[in-house]
Amino acid sequence: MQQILEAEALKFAYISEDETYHFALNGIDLSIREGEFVVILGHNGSGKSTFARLVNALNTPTSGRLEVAGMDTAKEENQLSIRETAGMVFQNPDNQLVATVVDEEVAFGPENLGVPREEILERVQQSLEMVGMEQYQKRAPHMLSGGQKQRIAIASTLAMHPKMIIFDEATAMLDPKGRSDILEIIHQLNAQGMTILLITHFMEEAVGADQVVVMSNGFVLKKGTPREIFFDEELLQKAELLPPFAAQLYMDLKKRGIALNPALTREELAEQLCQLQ
Amino acid sequence: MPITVKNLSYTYMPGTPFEHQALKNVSFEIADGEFVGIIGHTGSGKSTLIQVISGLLDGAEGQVLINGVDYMAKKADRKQLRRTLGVVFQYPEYQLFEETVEKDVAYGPRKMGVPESELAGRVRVALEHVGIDYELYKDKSPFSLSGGQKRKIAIAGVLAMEPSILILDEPIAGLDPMGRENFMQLSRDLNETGITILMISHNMDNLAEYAGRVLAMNGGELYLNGTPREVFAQEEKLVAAGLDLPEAAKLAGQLRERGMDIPRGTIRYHEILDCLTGKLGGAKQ
Amino acid sequence: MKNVALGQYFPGSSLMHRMDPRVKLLLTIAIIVLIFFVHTYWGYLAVLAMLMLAVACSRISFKFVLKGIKPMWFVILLTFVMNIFFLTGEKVLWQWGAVKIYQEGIEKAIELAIRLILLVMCSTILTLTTSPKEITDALESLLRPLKAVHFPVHEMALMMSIALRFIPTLMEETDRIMKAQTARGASFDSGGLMEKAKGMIPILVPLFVSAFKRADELALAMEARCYHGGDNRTRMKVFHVQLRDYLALLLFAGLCVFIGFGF
Repeated sequence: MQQILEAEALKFAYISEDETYHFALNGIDLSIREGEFVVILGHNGSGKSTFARLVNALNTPTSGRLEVAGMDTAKEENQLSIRETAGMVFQNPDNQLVATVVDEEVAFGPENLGVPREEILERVQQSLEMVGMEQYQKRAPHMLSGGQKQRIAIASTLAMHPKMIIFDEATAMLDPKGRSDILEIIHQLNAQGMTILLITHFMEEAVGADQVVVMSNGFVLKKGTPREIFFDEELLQKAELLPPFAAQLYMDLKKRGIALNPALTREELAEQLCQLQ
Repeated sequence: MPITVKNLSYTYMPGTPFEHQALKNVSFEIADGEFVGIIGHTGSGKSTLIQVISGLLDGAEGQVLINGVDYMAKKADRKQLRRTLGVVFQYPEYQLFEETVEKDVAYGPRKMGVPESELAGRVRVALEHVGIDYELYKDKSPFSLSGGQKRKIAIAGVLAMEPSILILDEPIAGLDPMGRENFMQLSRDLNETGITILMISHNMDNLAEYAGRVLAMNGGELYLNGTPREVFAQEEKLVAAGLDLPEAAKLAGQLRERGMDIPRGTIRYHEILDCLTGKLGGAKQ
Repeated sequence: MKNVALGQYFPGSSLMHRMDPRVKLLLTIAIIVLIFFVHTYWGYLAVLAMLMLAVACSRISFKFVLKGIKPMWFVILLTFVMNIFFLTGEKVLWQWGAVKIYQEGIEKAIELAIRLILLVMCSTILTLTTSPKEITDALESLLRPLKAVHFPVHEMALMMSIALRFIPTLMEETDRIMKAQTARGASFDSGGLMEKAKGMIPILVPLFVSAFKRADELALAMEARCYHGGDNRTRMKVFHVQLRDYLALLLFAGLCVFIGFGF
């Protein structure tokens, strides 16, 4: 399958007032295939959100190369097409809503892209249906719950017909119900072919991913499948992360002489444990 | 200090089209030195409950007694209430406002009338509690710090008031895994010094591990009230109220369904680990 | 805090809601101007009748519209009292030392109060049935000719609608910060004026900090959704003047004629 994202020796520095460079990204190599579900894990300040902004061409690389769907993010003329291709959902639901009515919110992106009116109406309808919010079309976004606001934010991105959506800690401020709703939608979208780049520090959200990227202090510590990541205790410790419940239990049982096949979910674990008994 | 809540009801915007009863006849008691977790989905009334207890929302019906004193009464000494009871709101980092860390942490105690000579000592102790070096940080602007550090400073600002009751509204929201662990450990340490703790949280694993009691709110009513073991054993009721279970309890349930004999009150990580080790003949460490 | 009716949209799909916001906006302005040409109680009654018709067509309870006037009661009462005491005339009704109350004063005061009430009612009906976004869109559309003289019509309209969007958010935030600082022992209603002003700092600083953070994040979010100014932008909502709008204009014309004939 085709690559949709290609990062090579990517560096990014914030320049402070006294003109010193503070590197938030110290050379990232990463490639993402179309349709892939990629999760970036890392503690606060690991550089994961900075990376997200670069992918959306909200910042340009200090050095190195970053291409989205073959377009160089450093080139200004690519900006709009990059943002159209790779939509972004941010952390704070309140701070990404522009309009006072839900349908106008969803229309904002396509309006900016100059999509004809008839098509905007279609896109708004379709996008709201995809996140299950069609009955809220005429409501005021600020009256909705956090989870519902994030669903509107996803719909607003979908209305631009992106190939990929970046979720920058989009579930961090939600309650468990809101979080599981959003995750369900993310998985649905991925099943329909959408490329997903999910940035989070909830380990369980990474269990179903195709590729997990662990970041710390602007470096990629390791890339791999969830199985390659979550049983690597040394890595997790270095990245200041904790494994998901099932992985932790599997490893602790192993230390106590109970050998199981590596398990990432409770279901996997339960299945094996019952057979052992 | 003990807290007694009797028949507490609260209605937002009574007599308008937006009228909404957020608390319905809630009664419970909390003994001195308890660590109480409050759970409930969004809109269940838990935030209203702690605001009424803290004397920040007026117009509630019923009674709240803190150490036997009714602070909802007209001529109550609110200042005494502030000295007794500290409140840490959601995302407390957004309440910082002073030029330096020291001044910000000292704001509460200064307002309480703590003598100037004692302030520096209080600030130092409070900052040490949250793991911030006093000498290194006291003169820094709180706005120059990272989000996690800001939150610690804000919490120190409440601790510096030396409350005997500490109320926390989702204090770990937005923190990364290590931040969450560290914060829960801090709460336990504070609790062990004798401070009564009331903590709203969505994180059932944390509460199973740290709380001595759990209150579950649902639709403005007190729905469940008991030890974590008692509350988290009522799986059906929790699910009906849209509430989660601790991971260990979920796994225990899944194992029971498959015919394995796991006791119903298994809610903590080390409990399920020990239980499985015992059943499957592993060596305890 | 969310129940302030003035400037608060009441979602719906009534006749009034579906009217072209440009027509609604122009009519509101026209009626407000017209109110100052009315001099008879019959005239006021006619304006009131028109407004009541509008309320009926909006399917919003009259009580709720009155709620919009509530925050204005003080101003209305104040001007009423001021007029009674300070307007002079010929017919003295009551005298107490230097204070004289004239019949003309009372008449004028009543008239002014009526005017104010009608004014507020009129604008309340507009804001209750028209979303802030529609009002700004209407303004943008009506002011479009000014683009020729390089007036940033689109940018102004967007700024206004974003400001409106964030009012409830910032109100909630203020409430939260106030409670947090109260819990830390702050008090906002004690002491002299200077004391009170100083007491606001623990609220204002965090509020500004967070407002700037919100503004930053919103700007990023807008960029991420391909916002690049008003050029080459399309709009989902286009306005059409329809039968109901012409009817409203006709009614207004009738009102003008009625008042023009001296009522």
